[in-house]
Amino acid sequence: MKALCWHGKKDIRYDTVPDPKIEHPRDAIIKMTSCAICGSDLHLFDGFMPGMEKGDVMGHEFMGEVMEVGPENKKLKVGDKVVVPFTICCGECEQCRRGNFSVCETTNRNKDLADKVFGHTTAGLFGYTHLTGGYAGGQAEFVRVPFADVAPVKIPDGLSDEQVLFLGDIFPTGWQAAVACDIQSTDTVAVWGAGPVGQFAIRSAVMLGAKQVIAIDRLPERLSMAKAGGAITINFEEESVIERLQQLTKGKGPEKCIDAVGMESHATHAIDGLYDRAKQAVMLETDRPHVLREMIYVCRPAGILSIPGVYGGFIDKLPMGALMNKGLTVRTGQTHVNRWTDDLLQRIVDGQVDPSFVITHTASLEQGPEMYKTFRDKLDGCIKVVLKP
Amino acid sequence: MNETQNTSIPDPANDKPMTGQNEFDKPSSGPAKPKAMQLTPEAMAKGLGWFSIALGVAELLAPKATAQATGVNYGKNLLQAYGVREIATGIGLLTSKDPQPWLWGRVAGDALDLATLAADLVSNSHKRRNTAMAMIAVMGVTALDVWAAETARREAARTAQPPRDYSDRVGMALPPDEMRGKAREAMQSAQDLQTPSALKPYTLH
Ligand SMILES: [Zn+2]
Ligand SMILES: [Zn+2]
Repeated sequence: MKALCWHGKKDIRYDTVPDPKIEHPRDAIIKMTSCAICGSDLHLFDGFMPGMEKGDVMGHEFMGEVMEVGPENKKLKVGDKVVVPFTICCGECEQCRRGNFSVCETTNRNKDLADKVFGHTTAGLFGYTHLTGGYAGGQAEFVRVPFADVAPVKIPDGLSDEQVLFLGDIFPTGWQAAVACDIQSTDTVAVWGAGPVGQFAIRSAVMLGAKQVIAIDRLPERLSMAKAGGAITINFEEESVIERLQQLTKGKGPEKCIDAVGMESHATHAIDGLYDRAKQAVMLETDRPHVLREMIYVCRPAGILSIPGVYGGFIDKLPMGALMNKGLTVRTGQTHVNRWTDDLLQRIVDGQVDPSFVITHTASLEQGPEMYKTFRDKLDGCIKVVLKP
Repeated sequence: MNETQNTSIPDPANDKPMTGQNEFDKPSSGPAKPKAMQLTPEAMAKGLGWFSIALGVAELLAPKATAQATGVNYGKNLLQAYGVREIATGIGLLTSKDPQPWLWGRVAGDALDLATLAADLVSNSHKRRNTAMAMIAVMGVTALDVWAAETARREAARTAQPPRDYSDRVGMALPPDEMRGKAREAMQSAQDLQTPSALKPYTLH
């Protein structure tokens, strides 16, 4: 079959690889019908996440039709239309039973490695480094889905791929980011990054009743989309984020701050961004925490920092004094996708939300390598790419 | 929480500014000016330009001192030639509209410097420590140069096209103001993500 494979920094290829097979009785094989490139794939593309190997199949946002099911899989039938969450979960371990699916204790095949690096393992993820199990991803014609009797979300007839595809990652990710803010009707929620996750976080915050939602980015096309979703926008290249947030909150700062940027914050405009970039280039630091520093600084005391943005390793010069003395709560983590999918699918069926608004580019899987560049460089107004086999 | 407490404690959910913060109450007069601490890509190119000139002048006028500081022992002429190159790059960076070719010029120059220093490290036994330190410094500068050039390239490619307007991409059934709070019941489904009542605004109890 054909798949998009990682071959090194900035080197994704449309390769021929062996077809996946059922390896365990609970598995299923999915024939992919739509997949997407996620912002966190760019961390792999840019070589900032450790643990990739040449030939690894990329992609963790995908959906399709069930082709084949293992004998112990009671949930799926051949022909079912499913969206596959990016977190692989067993449904049986202590964390899964608590609904903490993204830190499932059993699905990471390289548990020993993750135990060493993070202290404890987290869930296996599709197409996302050997640190999270080294599972082949979904930017491929066929995908093997392990523990397929747990996570996959069955899609009722009458919905398009475009409407439901993002249930596997960015929609619940933006939603969880907003839910983690425990939004009150008096709250100002500031969202750093108006990429796809930021866009969903903005709409989720509005639907969860925030008084005021503020989006911070520098790209006019993203800011226009953020505004459409109900956000007040700040272009950080044109104005001071801190000053404007102070103005909009009468000097008190936002109660809730969401970091929808993560490790690759674009802060060429700030001295600390330059410092981090230089350290990152010579491998003294893995992540660039400009957004984190800014959130800690501006957040209202006793507020909440919600961090859906992906970080990989170590950061430097984090204002711990401010974080502690201001009594801030930090909530973060990969998304516990299945906690939210029933509810969000129902909202899509009811017509309350239509996640397809975020798609700006559709291309064939073969054009994937090119689309990675378009997405990474934000060319042609690109916000979200969907690929079709 | 008892009721008397509720009335005696100032209400934190009330948005009235506290004393001494009235300046924030004034309406904003246009976008705030970027702070002095901010660095635009252009400013960075200019900074690297001045850096080039300073280094070039040192190499040109004081080749001996520069050689001593770095531990390289190749001829005065070569070092002066490098100085001329640095100055030319610096002027290019400071005066040109598009800093890209000059930034890539700096990267090429860095590579040449590194090659010279590496050759020196192998052939020259004395002052190895100085040479090694110089190499580490040049590597740091190279990383910065590559990044500045890359950023300039991407920005140029992106801004070559007019920005798209996505102001029709609401994504919700109704305009945002009518969708506000439509999903509040979802908060009951995530008890572990709720704020402890001690940290909640008093008015919402
Ligand atoms: Zn993702
Ligand atoms: Zn589990």
